[in-house]
Amino acid sequence: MNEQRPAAQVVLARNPGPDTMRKIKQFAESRGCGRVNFEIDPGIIGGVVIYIGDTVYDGSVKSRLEHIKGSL
Amino acid sequence: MIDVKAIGKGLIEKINAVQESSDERVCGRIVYSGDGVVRISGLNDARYNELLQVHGGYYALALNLEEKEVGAVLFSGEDKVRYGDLVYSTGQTVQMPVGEAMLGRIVDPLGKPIDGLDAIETSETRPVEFPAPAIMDRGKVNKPLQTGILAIDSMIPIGRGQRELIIGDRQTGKTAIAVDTILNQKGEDVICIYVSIGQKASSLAKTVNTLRNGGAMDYTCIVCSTADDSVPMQYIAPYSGCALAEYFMYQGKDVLIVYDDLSKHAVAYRTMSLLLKRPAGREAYPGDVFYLHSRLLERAAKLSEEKGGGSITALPIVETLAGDISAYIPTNVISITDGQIYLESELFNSGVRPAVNVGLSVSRVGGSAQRPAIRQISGQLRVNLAQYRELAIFMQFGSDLDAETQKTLSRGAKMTDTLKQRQYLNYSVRDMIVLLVVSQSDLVDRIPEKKMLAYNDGLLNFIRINHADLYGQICPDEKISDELRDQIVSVASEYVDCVIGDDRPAGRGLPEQAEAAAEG
Repeated sequence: MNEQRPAAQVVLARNPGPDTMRKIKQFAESRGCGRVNFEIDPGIIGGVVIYIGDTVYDGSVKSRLEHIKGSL
Repeated sequence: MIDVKAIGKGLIEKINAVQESSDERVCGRIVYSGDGVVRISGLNDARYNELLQVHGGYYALALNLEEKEVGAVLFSGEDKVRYGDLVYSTGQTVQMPVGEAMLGRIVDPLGKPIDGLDAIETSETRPVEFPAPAIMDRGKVNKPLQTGILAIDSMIPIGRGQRELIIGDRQTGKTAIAVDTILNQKGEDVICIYVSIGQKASSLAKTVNTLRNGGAMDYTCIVCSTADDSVPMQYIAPYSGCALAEYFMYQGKDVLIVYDDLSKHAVAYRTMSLLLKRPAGREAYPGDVFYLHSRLLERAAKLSEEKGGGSITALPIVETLAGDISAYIPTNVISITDGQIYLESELFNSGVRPAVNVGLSVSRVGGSAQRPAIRQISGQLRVNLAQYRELAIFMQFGSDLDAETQKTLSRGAKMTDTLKQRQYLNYSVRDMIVLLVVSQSDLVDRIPEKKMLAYNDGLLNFIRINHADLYGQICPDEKISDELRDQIVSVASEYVDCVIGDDRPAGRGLPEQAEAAAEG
């Protein structure tokens, strides 16, 4: 059953604590995801980026800074 | 002393004012990139012509929406995007910043200034692709757009809201006519937009300098894509220019837009289409190359008074190869426009400049917009010239000519000379009336052959300085009375008397000098 549900790709700047991990899994399940793959990329500075299928939830510090840079 | 605190405070205020964008976005991934074309998997909600944002700050235009992929062309960063990069849809089409601040500037097709000056202060934008005005919103073309070129204003008149094609081989003076027309709009309350599509940077620099030196940049904006710009940039350039023109038109202003040139635009579109693997048609152009130009030129219009009465006059330029106006793109654009000015390299090389072929050039709507005085006195011009040319060809083989034929030939040659005009030397409507009246009177028989151009120059100066009252009496919006016509001819005859008596024309410049200048 799990194979037919999409996997969520989660990118974080550093290893998540158990509480964060639980919250992320909860979020992914609410979006219909079966599995959650974690990836560490310090390049995003902070926050979290979650890819589910064609949708990206970008809560990274990097993208916010870029957004501010573009608006100024 | 820079106030660091104030700058910091300002920055904090600005950062606080930045709207948080929604965290949830639809994205796709690049699965192919080559020759500026990218294929993107995912991105199910992309729309045709939508602007896509590629990771790294690059932009692409979605053009092919397929079952599993989106084909798009990159505006920049062809060598920077990588396989697997994320692409976001922006939900909007390409926008062009518009406003008064754009005048006097040189911008790229996305509206970014490239003249090295300050940023352009404008908050408004318009979509680059926009529907043409509806039929009910259109008015009648009834106001002339003076090009300042005698051959055009007398025989191929252009009205505000008209689309007149300038067509000819390379080096026949196509751009010169367009530039002269822009220069002639000084003080005429016409906003000019010059769109350069895939041109050499050197020729564009020359045009920019000419416009700047002529003081035309106050009312002109240059939208430019040079030959080294990416193909999509060249493709959207005319639409961007048109979006800017529409902004002014919908404000009730008159706009002149020059597309220089549409054959290169068609080539850019062909490149894009072939790379996007769209089926090729005649001359490898895609099937919608007609629509490419028709939807652009349909946006040039004269609005009705209820809609503000603004207008866009379009002067598209098309370059032919070896004078072949029956090639694909020339025939397409000829059929879309309201007439064409056909320039011939043979005429150009034989010294007839502007090298307008009067027989093949037409204006389908401008006649009704022509100034009454010009219309009255140039009515017979076209027919007379046609008769002269026919006779001239026929007489090339004969030697013994009767006096009447000789007179017709000589008059025809002088009329042709009168229509010659130096670049950047635009005639006012009054000048044109004087020249047309004199060149069609019996007086021309007294002027030596091949001296017409110099005599005309001298005459105009003479009448402007010595007979300013008569010059002021000429009213372009009324018919020329016989009395006024006689007066003009008598003043001209006074000038001819004084010049022939003196054996050289009076006024500014000797004919030899003027002629040398014309040839040089």
